[in-house]
Amino acid sequence: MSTDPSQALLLECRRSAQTVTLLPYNAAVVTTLIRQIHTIHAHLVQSLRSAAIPGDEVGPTPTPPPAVMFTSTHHHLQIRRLKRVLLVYHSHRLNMLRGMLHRAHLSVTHLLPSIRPLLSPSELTFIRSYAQISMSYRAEFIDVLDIAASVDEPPKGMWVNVRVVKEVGEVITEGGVVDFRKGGRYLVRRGDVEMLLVQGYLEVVD
Amino acid sequence: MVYLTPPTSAHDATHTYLTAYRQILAHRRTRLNTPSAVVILAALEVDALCACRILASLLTRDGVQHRIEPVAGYPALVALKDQLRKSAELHSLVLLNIGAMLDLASEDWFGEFPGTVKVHVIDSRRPRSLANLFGVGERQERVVVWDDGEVPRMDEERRAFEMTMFEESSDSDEEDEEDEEEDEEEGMEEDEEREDGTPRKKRKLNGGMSKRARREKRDEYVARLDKYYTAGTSYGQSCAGTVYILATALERADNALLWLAILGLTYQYLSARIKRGQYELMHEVFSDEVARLNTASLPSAGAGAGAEGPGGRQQLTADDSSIRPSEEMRFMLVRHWNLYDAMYHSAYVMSRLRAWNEKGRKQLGGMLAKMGFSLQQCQQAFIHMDQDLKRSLRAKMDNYAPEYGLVELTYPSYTRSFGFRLQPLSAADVVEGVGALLEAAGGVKLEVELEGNRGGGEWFGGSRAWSLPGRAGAGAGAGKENQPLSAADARAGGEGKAGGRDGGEGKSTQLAEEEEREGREEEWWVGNFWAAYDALGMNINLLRNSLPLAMALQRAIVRQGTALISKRAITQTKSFRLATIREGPDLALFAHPSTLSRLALWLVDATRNWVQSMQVGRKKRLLPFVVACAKEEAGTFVVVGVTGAEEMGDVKPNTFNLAFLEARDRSGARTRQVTFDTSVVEVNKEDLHKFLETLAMRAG
Amino acid sequence: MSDWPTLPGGSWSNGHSHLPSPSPEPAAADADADADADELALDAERADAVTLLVRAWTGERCAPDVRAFEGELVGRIMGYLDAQAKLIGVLKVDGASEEDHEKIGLVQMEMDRVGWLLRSYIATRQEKLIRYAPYINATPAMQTRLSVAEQTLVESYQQIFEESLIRDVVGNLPEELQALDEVLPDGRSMVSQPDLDKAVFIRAKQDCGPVLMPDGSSLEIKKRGIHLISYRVVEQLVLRGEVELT
Repeated sequence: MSTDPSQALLLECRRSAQTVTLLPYNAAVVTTLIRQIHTIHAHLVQSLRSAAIPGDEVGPTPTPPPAVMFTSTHHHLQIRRLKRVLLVYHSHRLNMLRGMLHRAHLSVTHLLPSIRPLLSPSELTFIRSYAQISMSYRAEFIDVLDIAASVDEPPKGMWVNVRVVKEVGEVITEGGVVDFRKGGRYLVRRGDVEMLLVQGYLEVVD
Repeated sequence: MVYLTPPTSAHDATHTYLTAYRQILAHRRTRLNTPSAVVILAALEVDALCACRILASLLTRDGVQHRIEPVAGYPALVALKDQLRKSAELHSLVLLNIGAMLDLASEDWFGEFPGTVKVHVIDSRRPRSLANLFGVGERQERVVVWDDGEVPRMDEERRAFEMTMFEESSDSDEEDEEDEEEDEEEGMEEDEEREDGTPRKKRKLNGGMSKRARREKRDEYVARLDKYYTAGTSYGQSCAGTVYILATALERADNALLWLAILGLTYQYLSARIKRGQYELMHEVFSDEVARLNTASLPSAGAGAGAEGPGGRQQLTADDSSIRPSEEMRFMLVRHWNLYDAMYHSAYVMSRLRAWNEKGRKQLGGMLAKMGFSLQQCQQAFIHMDQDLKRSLRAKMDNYAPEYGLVELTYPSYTRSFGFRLQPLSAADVVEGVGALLEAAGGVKLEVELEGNRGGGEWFGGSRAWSLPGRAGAGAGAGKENQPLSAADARAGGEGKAGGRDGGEGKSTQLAEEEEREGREEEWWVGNFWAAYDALGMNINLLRNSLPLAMALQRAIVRQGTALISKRAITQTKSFRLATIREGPDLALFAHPSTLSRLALWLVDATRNWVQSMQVGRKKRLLPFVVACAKEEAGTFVVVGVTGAEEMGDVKPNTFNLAFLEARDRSGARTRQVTFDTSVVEVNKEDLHKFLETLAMRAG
Repeated sequence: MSDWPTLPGGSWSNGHSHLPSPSPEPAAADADADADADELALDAERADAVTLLVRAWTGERCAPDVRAFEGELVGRIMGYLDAQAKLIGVLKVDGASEEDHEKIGLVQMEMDRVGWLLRSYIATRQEKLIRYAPYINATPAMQTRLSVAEQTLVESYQQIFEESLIRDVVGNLPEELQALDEVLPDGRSMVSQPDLDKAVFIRAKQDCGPVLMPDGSSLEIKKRGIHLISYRVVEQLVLRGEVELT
């Protein structure tokens, strides 16, 4: 591998953040890094053990010779760094997932199809669990308020002009049934179409 | 049913734009306020577009949910009608520049709709179906025509209509009975008739007159109706103007709406739909409005207060969005082009100077030189032109242009400011820009000039393919609104075509291909409509970008037109002149009916001075123009017919609306209605010849 | 469209709404005087609640850490929203007059806005909770600032978050390396805490006397004074309500 794998993982994080996209879970690199940690750790344990002066185990452990100190510190730092890289990578992804779920109005079924292949099995479990705990939190308010609705911008008015992005057909709204067809534009009550907007069937115009 | 506006009408004050509008509003307080309840169908042209915006803004303000659908032509209209028929919530249907000539209350159209539905027709086109205006009966009550004051003057047509409606049912059955009574009553009835001269509305059908007299009278009425319907197409008050009047009645008129109304009017004038006289009439009305709504921005005193020529300077502030009166020259987009180009591409100049050849171009250059403009100066972008030159432009034109036969170069119009976002644009500029978007925002490839300096004929600007900003290029169907109605609807639309296609099962692939192509075309129309719609709204960028597009379109038109002229590709029959385009770089462009129509109008203007050679008898008679363009993909030709008037700026009714239909019937040619205008038709390429032949045989 | 005048409605910052005031229960017919008094009281109360909500919302948006949950206020707002929704439902069924229609429109808009405020308040807190979950869960003092539901949320969140990390990372590492709450020798901790030194804008509602700046100097904070200052320095003042975040 020409690039240091840990560097590669960080670059992925950066790319993913900048383009606001979730990249596929890089199991290969993760595994490699974990293996690296194990290897270095083994080295570390080994070198510390071999540096220990045999025999005198009663007294305080004497400091190993500088050479050993140097390499073991080096290993330590390496391990710490690798661990940190791994944690950064994973928490970045978990946070992204959270954001995506919120934008999908807490609907896992709606979100999953597009990203499932990109997740590790553990991430899948995470997002499902997260949806669950969010939903129960939401239940506290749901009689009056849907806290999962978008809060990006304060509402500008009751009405919104929308056009149809994906065929959605007939929709039941507060006022009655509306047949949303492509090619036309509709003036509707914002509340009626919030869900459809979030899910991408409709788009606001003007 | 007829509706008039309150202030100007002494008539029926219970039936006005206002009451009609209130009716539309009425249901919103109930649970029926959904966008399915109020549906607006708009034709694909600038006037309808502007009207649509005005109406949408009124409805939005009133909290009335609604739906807007652009409609390309009959197939689309039929498909929509079928769709809407099933809607339980539909309450008001508004047709903008659609439906004037359709018998809307019939079963074919909206007769079968639930009784609670009202169909409002705001259409500037004339003639109109008299059934819509004067018909009675439950179904007719559904049709509400927004009139501009013409109907009260249509007494004769009204009488003729009513009489023929009644007479139809009576005639032959009761003839024998009548013979008996007749002799007795004859004397009395005749007296009565002579006295007041007008037959009573509910006159007894078998009263008074002899059989023969009655038949003669009937023929008279029928002839009257005939005369009305065959006069050729003309235009009344613009659709946008009508809706604007509603806005004033609601006391909601503001600059945004006024501007839209002005655009509608300007469009009618620039596309030769109305004469100068009609234009000036409405212009006066709007001038009052402009003054009323723009008091802050008018200069307080000084020479030429209020009127700005294209070279004049206006004080700009960031919030300035006011409308100011101006005198505009009939060169297209002069502010945005350079003077030379604007003049060269103007049909008016072209016709006087015959600038399609080298000699003509020299003349143009010569004229400009006389006025003190060097060629280099004229080819500079107008905004960079010397201030002094610009200011003196109008005066110099007035001085020197008449020498070359260029008179009436200007017309009164308006400009609008856009703060710092864009330089002030004239109404004509915006009409051209928006029109260009309607025609070519998507669906065709056009090269557009980038800004550059043209010194001495060379230019550094370069060009690029125009594409809708923010969306993928013109080639890809990326516009999200550019999707067809569902496949089923597209098929249903296909079945609306004339020409005996068997519908339903067993469709050949050719048919399916055709329908797919038509579906895609419709996508483009719809997408273009919305692009133009947005350009009139918040999207100033789009408006700005539409201007180069308009110039590119005009260039293509002039290129094609001059090619036709210089190649002597224009032939002449007894009743019209003909030009056919079978090949060329812009073929796809001219397969669009609106672009082709503009080419035809351009040709009429450009060749007006050929009339000398076409003198028939003592009167100058300008032959109409028919232009056909090959549409290779479809294996058809798009054909448009325009009637030219003898004087520039004058307008004659276009009789091709009927001529085409007749020619089709008589020749058996397979044709398709492309738009709502029957003076535009798509003819199967194998039938083109016989179609044109039959058309030529018709007495001109 | 840009040229339209905007519809009348409350402005955020002063929290006053220009609303007509429907009473919370559908037409409990009292003597007129009583009803009027009730309406006025409700008006005042509602205006008050919205003002408070705006203040709470602003505070939450500006403060680096999580502030005390305004449970009572939230309850009141929820109740208000609920009552308004019911009222509109009643009016609509009965078929409102033209005037009422306007009122309904305005009321709905106000509800939209207040609802948004509340949702944003909750969401802002939620974001902070989740970001500092491990810290909050380890700090009883922080937990007291949370609502019960929030406490559950924070605990559950930390759990699932760490479980995922364990499954994917640390669980696969040698035992000594499995900690998720290490503190590095240089003081940085794996558990992130709110940065109380972050600078915030404050406006003093009264004279507060001198405060001790990080560099040892003192700053006099007077009524109506506006300062950009480290949160830590003024934290107590903020909590006591003597200054407000802005």
